[in-house]
Amino acid sequence: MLHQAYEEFAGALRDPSSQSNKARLSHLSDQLQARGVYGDAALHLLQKYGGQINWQGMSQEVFSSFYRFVYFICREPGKRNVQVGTALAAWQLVLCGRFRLLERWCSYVSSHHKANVVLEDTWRQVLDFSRTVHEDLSNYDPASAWPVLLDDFVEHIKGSRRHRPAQLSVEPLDILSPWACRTITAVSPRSGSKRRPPDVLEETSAASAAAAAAAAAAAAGEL
Amino acid sequence: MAGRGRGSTFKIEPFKHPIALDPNYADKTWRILESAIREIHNQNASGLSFEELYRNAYNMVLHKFGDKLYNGVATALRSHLAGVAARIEAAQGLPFLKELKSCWDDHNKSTQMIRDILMYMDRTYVTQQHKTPVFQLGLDLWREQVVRHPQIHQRLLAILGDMVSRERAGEIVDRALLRATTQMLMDLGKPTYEEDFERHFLAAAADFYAKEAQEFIASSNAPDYMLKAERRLAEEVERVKNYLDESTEPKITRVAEHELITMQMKALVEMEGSGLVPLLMDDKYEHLGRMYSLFKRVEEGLGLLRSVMGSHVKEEGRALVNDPEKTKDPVEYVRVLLAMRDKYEATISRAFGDDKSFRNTLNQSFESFINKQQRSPEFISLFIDDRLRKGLKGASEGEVEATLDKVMALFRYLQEKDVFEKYYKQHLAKRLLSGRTVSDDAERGMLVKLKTECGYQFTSKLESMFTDIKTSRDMMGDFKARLAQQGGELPLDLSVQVLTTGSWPTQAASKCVLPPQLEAACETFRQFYLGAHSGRRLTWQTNMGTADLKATFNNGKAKHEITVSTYQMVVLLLFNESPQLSYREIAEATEIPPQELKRSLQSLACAKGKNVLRKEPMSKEVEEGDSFSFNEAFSSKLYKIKIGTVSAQKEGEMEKQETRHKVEEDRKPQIEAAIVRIMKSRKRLDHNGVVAEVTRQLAPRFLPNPAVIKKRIESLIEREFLERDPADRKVYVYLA
Repeated sequence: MLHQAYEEFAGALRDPSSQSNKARLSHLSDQLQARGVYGDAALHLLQKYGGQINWQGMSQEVFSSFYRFVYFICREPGKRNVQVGTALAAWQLVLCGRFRLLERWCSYVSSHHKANVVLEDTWRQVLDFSRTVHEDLSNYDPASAWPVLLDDFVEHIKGSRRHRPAQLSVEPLDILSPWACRTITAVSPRSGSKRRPPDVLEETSAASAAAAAAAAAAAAGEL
Repeated sequence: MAGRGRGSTFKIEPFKHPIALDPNYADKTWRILESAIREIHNQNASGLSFEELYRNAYNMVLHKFGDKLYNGVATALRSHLAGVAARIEAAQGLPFLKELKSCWDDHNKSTQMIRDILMYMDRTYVTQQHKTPVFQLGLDLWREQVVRHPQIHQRLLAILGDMVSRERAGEIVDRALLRATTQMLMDLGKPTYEEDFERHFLAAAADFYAKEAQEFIASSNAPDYMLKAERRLAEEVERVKNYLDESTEPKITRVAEHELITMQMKALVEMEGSGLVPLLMDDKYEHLGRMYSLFKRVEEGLGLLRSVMGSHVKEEGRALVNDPEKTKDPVEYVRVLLAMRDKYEATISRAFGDDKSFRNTLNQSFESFINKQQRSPEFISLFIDDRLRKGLKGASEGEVEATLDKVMALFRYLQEKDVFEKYYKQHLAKRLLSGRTVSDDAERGMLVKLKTECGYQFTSKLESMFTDIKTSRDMMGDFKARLAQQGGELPLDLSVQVLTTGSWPTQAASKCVLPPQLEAACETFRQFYLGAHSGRRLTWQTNMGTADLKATFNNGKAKHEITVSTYQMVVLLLFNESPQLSYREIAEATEIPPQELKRSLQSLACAKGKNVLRKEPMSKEVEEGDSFSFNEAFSSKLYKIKIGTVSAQKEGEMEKQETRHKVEEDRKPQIEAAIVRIMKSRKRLDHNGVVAEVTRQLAPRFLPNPAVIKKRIESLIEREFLERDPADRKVYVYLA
């Protein structure tokens, strides 16, 4: 069912007429919500039957629309925004393996974000952020149009980096998190994650990333 | 005659037989001419026949001996000049110049004569063969043989240089001789003057002034140095007039300016104790004026002055605005700022030639430091409040007007004009409600100034406050008339001012329990008002009112009329019932908010000469455990006593934060409106473009923070006024 809903959603996004686009989306939204597919419940469903959609194997472009779909189904009935808790869980589920700063982002949002919802714009920009900004934030432009929450996040990371520069290089995956990456082996190590520009070290870094992923997967398996 | 000439032809026959020429003719003739030239050189020309010599020369040229003649003359001149050079060289010291001058005069005279004799050669042979005319030849040879004679040239330069430096040192020199010498060089052609004299002269001057400037700067203070430099520059101009060619003037001036000013200006400006800053501090207009006119001569000079003045003003201003002593008293704070501005304005107009660029620098500096103090808008408004309250008492209307004009200049520097507006509104409200505006005209005048500065929007609410007051006055008239008509009379004299919500600074509607007689009067008014204007709602702002009370002290011996705030009146009336009340009892009976209550009690019990209440224990602050009693023993020389609340003036920390917060809230819709306005007309614009444009549009009111603008954009995206361009996330698109 989720799969069909996603197909319909992607179709609606491709619809050139903005009016029928809106109508289809709101119709879909009503349908899903009538069946109880919203908020955390929707996320559970996604986690359970996600295999049909197989978002880990998606190309960047297809994933973009899937990513929006996740936000779409996570909204509470009658609301336009997603609760922070739901959004955090959703990020951990779908961005896993696609966003190198995911853990830190999530922990930052859960501890510093004051509002109790995540705006759709912020949600969408996070994907862009994960794709265009280097892991070490070296190419982050504060004058660019990032949402304020991302600005604050970068500020926070840079601030903490000044205090403990040594710990930056390796960030172990937080395998104790409830949404830990159990499916990580299915993700190509290079998909969607932004490292520094590929220089001579690319081969080895990709290899070591794969190794780290494997290790994490192993650890998860033991749990 | 023309008729007779017609038809007849007239023919000139050439010589049929060429005259046989004596083969030695040329030599012979040349010898005659040569000896004549020698005689001329020996100043012995009186015996010569000009006519004969001319004919001889003419014939020689005619018979194609021009070459011989020309070369012969050149040789004769050259050998003569060699002798002259030797003679000049032999002369020493001053006579050298004199010798040179007299030889030059002679040479000129004889060359002229020789030229006259050889006039025909000049006209034909010289022009045909493109040779140098005889007189010029004489000059060229003089230059070559005499002026550029190695020893003579050196000596000439040395002596000229020596004379100039002696004159610079104050000695008197033979200017006529100098003039003659430089004139000679000029006569030899400008290049000779420039090459053989001016170049050396300028180099020597540069040397001299470099050394002198260093000595001066080390030994004297800046004003003295500038005086000397100015004198030196004038001297050089004078010197050129006296004995140099006028073309030298700009050059020597440039050299002297470079050495005396450009090279030393930094040292001068920064000179300890007498540099620009000390001069500015002591208002040394004369010295400053000299500095300005000297520095104006050289490139970068005024730029240096401006930047040093600007940073000094900034520094002085920053120290002022951050001085905790100065910021204690807002009126004094603004007064000092005004005085400072007056001072620099005076300096610029009296010493810096009313230079606009200096004014700009001054304005920029003021703008930068005034905005460093967040409370500047509040303080400026308080200052105006102070002037409009009591300013007119001593000062004439014109003076107040002038002060207010100056304050407007400070106002212009403010970046946060909206904060000023907030405070101005608060202060104006207090003035209007307490009826303490001294002059309606002055208030209106101030409003007009603000309006011209910031536009209608800025003052519309302020104006509606005035209207409210006026309508209230009329309405009170009606109310009293109605009462008289109905024969009902109030137990007290009630005066109500009806304020439009929104136009006045809103304060959280505070409640307090009014005494029954007042409650009844209020009710009467309410019925009257709602009868006239149905559908309105009246809320009583007890925190803004005042009351006049009649009180008897000392067992009825002393009677006074006391003016208090509504809160204080409520408190005081309680003491009609019981002589002593604790703080808690008062709070319970009145329900006045604790902060306000404390403030009211403080001014009733703690202010000297106005303590109609007695507090236990005695102290300056009011605590919750205190108790109060009626002060029977109160006495005052005055019949009418005004008890102000300890407030009005500067805001406390809490209130300040509150006002800040209110201002921030008020800015949000303004920023959003600006964004929408911009996007509506542009349809698509990138993030930085939006931020820049919003900042520009709002600059007359305040400087929006880029992060705040971003938040507003996010909110507008959320509300679907805007969206991000799917292709470029930095570009926003307006959604109609």
